[in-house]
Amino acid sequence: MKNKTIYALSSPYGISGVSIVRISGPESREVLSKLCNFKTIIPRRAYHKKILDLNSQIIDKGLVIFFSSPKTFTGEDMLELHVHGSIAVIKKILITLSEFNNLRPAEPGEFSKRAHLNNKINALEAEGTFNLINAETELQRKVSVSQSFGEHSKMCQKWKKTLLEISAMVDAQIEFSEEDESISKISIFERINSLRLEIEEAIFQSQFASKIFSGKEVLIFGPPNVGKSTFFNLLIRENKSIVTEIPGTTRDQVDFELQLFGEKVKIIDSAGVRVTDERIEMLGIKKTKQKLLSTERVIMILSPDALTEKNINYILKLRKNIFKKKIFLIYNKLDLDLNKNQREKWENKIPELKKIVNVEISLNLENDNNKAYKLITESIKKNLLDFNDISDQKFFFTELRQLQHLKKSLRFLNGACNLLSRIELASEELRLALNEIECITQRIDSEEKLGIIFGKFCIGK
Amino acid sequence: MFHVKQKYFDVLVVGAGHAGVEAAFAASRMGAKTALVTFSKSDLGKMSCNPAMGGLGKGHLIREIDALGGLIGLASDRAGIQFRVLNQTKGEAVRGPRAQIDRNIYMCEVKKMIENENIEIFEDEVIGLNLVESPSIEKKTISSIELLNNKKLLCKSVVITTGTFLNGLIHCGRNSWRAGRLGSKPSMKLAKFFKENKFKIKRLKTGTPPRLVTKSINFKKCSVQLGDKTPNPFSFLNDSIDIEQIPCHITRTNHRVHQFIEKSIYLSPMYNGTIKTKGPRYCPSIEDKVQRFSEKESHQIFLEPETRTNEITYPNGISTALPKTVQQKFLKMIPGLENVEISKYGYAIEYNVIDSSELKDNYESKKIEGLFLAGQINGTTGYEEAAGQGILAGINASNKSSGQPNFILDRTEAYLGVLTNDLMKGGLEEPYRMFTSRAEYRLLLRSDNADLRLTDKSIKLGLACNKRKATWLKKKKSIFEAESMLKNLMASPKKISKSGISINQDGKKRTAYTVLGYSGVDWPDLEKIWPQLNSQKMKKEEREQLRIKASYEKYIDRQIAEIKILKEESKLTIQQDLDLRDCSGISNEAKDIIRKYKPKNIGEAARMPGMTPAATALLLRYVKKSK
Repeated sequence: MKNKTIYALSSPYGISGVSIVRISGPESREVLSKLCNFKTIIPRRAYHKKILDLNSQIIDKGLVIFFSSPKTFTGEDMLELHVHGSIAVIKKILITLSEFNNLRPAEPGEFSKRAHLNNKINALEAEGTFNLINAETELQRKVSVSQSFGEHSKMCQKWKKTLLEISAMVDAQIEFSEEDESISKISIFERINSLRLEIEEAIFQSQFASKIFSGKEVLIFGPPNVGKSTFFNLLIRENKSIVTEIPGTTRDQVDFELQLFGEKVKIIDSAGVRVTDERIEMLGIKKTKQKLLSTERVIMILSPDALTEKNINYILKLRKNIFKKKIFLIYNKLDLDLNKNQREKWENKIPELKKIVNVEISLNLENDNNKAYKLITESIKKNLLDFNDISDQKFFFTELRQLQHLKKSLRFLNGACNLLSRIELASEELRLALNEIECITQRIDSEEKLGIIFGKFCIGK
Repeated sequence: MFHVKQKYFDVLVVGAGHAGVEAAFAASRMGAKTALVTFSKSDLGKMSCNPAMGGLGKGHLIREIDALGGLIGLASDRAGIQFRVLNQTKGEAVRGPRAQIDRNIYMCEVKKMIENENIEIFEDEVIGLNLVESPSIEKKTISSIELLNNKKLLCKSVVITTGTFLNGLIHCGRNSWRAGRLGSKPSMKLAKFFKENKFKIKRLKTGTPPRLVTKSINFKKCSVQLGDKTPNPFSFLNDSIDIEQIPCHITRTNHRVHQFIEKSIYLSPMYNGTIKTKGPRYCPSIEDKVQRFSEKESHQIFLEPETRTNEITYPNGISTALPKTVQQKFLKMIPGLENVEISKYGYAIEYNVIDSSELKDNYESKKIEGLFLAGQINGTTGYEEAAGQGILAGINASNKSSGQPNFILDRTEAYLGVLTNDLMKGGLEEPYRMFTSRAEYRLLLRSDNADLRLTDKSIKLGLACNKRKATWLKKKKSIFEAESMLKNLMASPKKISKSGISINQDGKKRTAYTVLGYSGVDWPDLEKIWPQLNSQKMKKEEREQLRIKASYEKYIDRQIAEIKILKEESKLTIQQDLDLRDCSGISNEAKDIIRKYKPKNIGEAARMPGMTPAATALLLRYVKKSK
């Protein structure tokens, strides 16, 4: 029970207007009286006070707020020191705190872990808090807020209630078999089935959700020297990929994460595909082809000077992989003389191209590319980002842990459906399904699992 | 001191209903000097309500009580006149043995078994319990009881099993009078004792239907309900039942009956405000049925013979407290009952129960050392629930007087444990009856394996008779040997399918045990594959018990794993200096309980009265965190 009061810097370490140091645990009051010379304090009130070291020398002046257990974030007594965002001040305060006997620095995520252990937040909410802290895009924020402030928990509660009701129906069949009123197995089946569909749907939707956090990948693909890297640099508004007039300049993959229309998108520039003997280029092309297999979104770039037999054959060889993706096409280098009817020429050679949405542009380093940028991003939004999938669907289960419980629950529900003729086993399967649903929101005891959930947090949370 | 020699007993049982006789029988079997106090010897093992034993959950309880060495199973087997296993078409775990009982034979059998024991019976009324202060434990201890006619009896422990007699009040129409049941006086003095000692008291209600003269019923208008072709005995000591079985009949209420009851409802004490207490929801009166299920056109009535000689019929399903004239009229509207004669009218009874949060999990009062309560007084309904508490209270009262540790079953090992655990949480709102759904580990707690779960414990307690001991040890050996043999025999799917069992041809070898668990497979199928099983001489029930166990194998393994985790957690010790101030989430009430009783481990804390499962879970986490 010793060293059970923890402290940490809760804001970034560095120069800023304000930095916040948090202390949680029974020693918080003691710290308060030593550091700020406080005898009595009204909780939840901000005081402007001198903050002293243990030799009563002033460190800084700042806001001091004391929160009294149990109505605090962690459920324990807590103290917040809002000081100047100065590295020297932060250092001095942390050193001073380390001089207290019963204080120790917090482990990553320990504040949230204590909140969880003291029943302030459930596992789902804790995971949501983590996601919220790390949210970069608007969609990430929305999903995290729904997780951390109860919307997701409500969904689980609803499923739990439904499961309890179904269990009661099943058990009534067992307990009241002598009564002449009976619930038909069909209505039980229907209820389990509709719950099963709901959970299946949630699992299905959650696959999209994981992309909200990991980002959607978009592969820039095409023959060499069609302008892929120019396009990439334009999109990320940075000169990241090397651009030359030599075909096969890009050999390794280059990627960049950016936010487009509130979504995280990972743009990948790739080596142009062609037959080559050059060993490094060959490896690059192999990587491009592998990425083409695993990714779902592709922007293909073609240009009139690439309209060669070799390139056409190469693309035809990959057609099965290319044309089932979410894809749109850019016909580049409109300015080239040989441009006349570039599109028809390509389409004659590769008929699949007719079915794909395309834009015709001319990317040029010297030109003002703002118009092209707008055109391209709009096309990406329209053709690759499928906003309808997600914008109105709130219930994403983003964590592997949550999904595992959902999937197990689904397995038990399937078991129950198949076992309605052995009603006591159906009842058992329902009990197990209920356990899994409860696991999503319940409090977690096992140290190992707690580690997984809270280990990801930054120190001061 | 005066030289009046006062009688002393280790265990005094007050009340001789189903809880009382089990308590006295168990205590005496375990060697305690035991006495039984009852208003009348003729009340021993009286069945005040329906003439039947067992059913779902209840049949499980009977088999468990029997496996522990109680008398309810044996007496029922001798008095049973129609045996029927409920849920015959459903899985074995949820089948409930049930039997119509000849109430006279039942009483005779119980009386015989009690008289065979060295139990002194006092026909008397308890007018007081004498307590002494014991300074060492800051608690009062029971020292003796005062009887109305006899003198004082000294004792170490007392088991109170007064059923509905505590401050009982009968209602029939507009009439009400004080009684323990029809024709018996209530226990007013005892009621006063509990009040004076500030026990938390609740008032509950139950009811009973009118009794009908059998020869006045026209059974031609009713459908017949027969028992099982081969009656299944309750007791593990009996292999078969060879008493002649007689049929029951079924008739139904109709719209006219419902209309008439509806019209007369203001005359029912349950509906005119006279009775405000709650009755068992699962056993509603006909007034309740008509009101609560008004959409139903008709309700079943089981016409059950009260005795083998069948003079009186018990109409199961129409318990009522309507006035006599109304009862008469509505009965005659029912097919088959047009000319019915009523031998006794139905009535409702209100009675005091002690909130079982007053009890420790050995059924002993928290307030008064040596005072045990069992049966309906704790808020349960049903003979089986009463008997179950009776045997547990009897065992513990006996252990108390001989200085032995408490005997506690938990919910993972018996329905008796589920019953105890549910009761000790306290706060019952209606009479408690057992259901199989109350047991989380239903697939493990089957009626077929009650002996496997409990008889070793009974032997250890010294409760099992020699016959039970010998029967069980033989069966145990036989089953264990057969099980390990089955688990060692393997065959390929190809070989298995040759004997006509359809099986997935995945090339994976199966044990004989696994194959036995497949639905539709039985021992003869196995013998075709493994002829050596022929030599395994086993009784029919033994083979059946193994087959059932095998059929639940997958589920049983999972439940056992779950229980193991539970048990490990419950063994987690609670630090004696645990500071609960920082343990947020736990109510102050629960904190007080932990501080006051200082449970040694989580399991003990969980069983503390007033500890909710939620509070226990929080405590568990807090204890883990503090280590």
